[in-house]
Amino acid sequence: MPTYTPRGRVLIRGANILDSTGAVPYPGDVLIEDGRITAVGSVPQEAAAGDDIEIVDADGKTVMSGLCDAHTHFSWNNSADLDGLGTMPVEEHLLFCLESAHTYLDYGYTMCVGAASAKPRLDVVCRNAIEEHRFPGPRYLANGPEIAVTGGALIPSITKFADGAEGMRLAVRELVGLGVDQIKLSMSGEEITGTLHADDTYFTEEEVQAAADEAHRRGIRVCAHARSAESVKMCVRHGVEIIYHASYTDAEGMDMLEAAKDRVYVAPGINWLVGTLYDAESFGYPQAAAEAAGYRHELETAIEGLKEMHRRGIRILPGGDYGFAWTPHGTYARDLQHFVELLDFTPMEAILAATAQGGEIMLRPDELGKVRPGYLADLIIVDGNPLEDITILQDITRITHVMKDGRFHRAPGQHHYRGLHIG
Amino acid sequence: MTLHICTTCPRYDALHQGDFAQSLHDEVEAAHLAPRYIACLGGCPTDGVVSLDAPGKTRIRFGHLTVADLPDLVRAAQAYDATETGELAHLSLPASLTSRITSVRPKLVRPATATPADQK
Repeated sequence: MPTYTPRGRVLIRGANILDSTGAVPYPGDVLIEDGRITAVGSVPQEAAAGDDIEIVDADGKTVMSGLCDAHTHFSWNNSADLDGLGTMPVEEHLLFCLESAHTYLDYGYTMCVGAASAKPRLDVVCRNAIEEHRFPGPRYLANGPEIAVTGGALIPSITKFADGAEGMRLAVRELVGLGVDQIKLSMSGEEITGTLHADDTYFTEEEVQAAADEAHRRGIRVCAHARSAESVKMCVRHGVEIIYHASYTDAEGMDMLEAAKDRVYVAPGINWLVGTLYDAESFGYPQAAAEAAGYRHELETAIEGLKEMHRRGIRILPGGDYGFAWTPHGTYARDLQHFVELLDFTPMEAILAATAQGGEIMLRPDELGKVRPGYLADLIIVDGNPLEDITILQDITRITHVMKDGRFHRAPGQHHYRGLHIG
Repeated sequence: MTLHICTTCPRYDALHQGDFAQSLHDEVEAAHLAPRYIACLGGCPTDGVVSLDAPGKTRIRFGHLTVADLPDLVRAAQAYDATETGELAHLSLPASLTSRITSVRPKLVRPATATPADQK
């Protein structure tokens, strides 16, 4: 377990502050008191006086908000195949989930939105353990097993099956009873299955409407695996708040997303497409097979669609589907690189998507995702400027400090990253 | 310098995870190189993974490496830096490394023409 500093006062001095308001980074200090940021930029000397304050010299390093992964799977266990997500016994699986949570925080991710759990209570138990300070991890919105209709499950062993409107309502009620923060609908296919195609839709209109209505009646949001054009449109029609993938959004769906841009998020999980196409060969899925399955076409189509969404001001957030062998835990910040290199995001826009908009999707826009007075002190210190080179966020040795709730999870000399003793 | 070093290798030996990067770390620091330390480069079955990677360039990944390969890796990285594209055809790699290439990933480029989702 890492050693936590007392939740007292911390002054980060001499930083380059990237505050996630869109402002160009500026030199200054950040004062943290009782878990919150109380001053940014110019900190009066008297405010930082006293013996109870810890001084951290940033030496010009970048101070910024912790990052958000909008499509998180603690329980995706770096398996080399889909079925491996379901075969791990629950005891080992819980341990793996706790390790995943630890890894997220190690890499500066302080906000995560759960996108499905491989077993009913893994996410909920992890979230509770983190909130109770029993294990380290990001602030987490827990999910349950994804709901699919008969014949429409990507991975049957980790799916909650439901058919028809009443079946959907029952499934939602059961998941709400477990204590989840959101519900996941698995509405379209996934080419790697070989049988369920990305541009197919398996839910009926009535099923989506019933699931969303039941969740919303209980104050729960809905997210969906929605690659197909029709599934995207169903999501918008029925108030699904978080649309994952949206690879094949058509012109009508694009207009619908734009009209609903104040209430929907798109989290494409773009690295899954890149990784499955190019990085899965070592694990038995050759590039030729991925291309034959349609992943190149889907990637190219998704890129064009996401660029258009970005132009129209639709919120696109990074994250997902980390936790397969070719998209392993720890490599989360690849999404930010893809946003810049593939989706026409500027580095600042990618950072804002991962921080300020992270606070929004976490439903705490006034507390999370920015370096501003009043915000919770979930911060990272980066050796370098991610606006100049966003790939440095993939390098754990460049993330010198990770703070959550005003306490250091990582700092030089305070915590050794597993196996690699740096700093 | 465009060396990316995996910090997990060997993934399947929990006790020694990170040892590969640690073994290279002291040498690269002494040589004033500036690699990226990356959680995983996706070559786990051939642990001891390093890649050459840079914006706009082909990524070339090597496996089954040890600290003894560092001088050749440095020469490879210098050759890579000198090319515009990083493509293998334009690279002269040390002989000891050519047999240990485990992946060549062309740099992703945005499609030149749109492929509307309405037309598949």
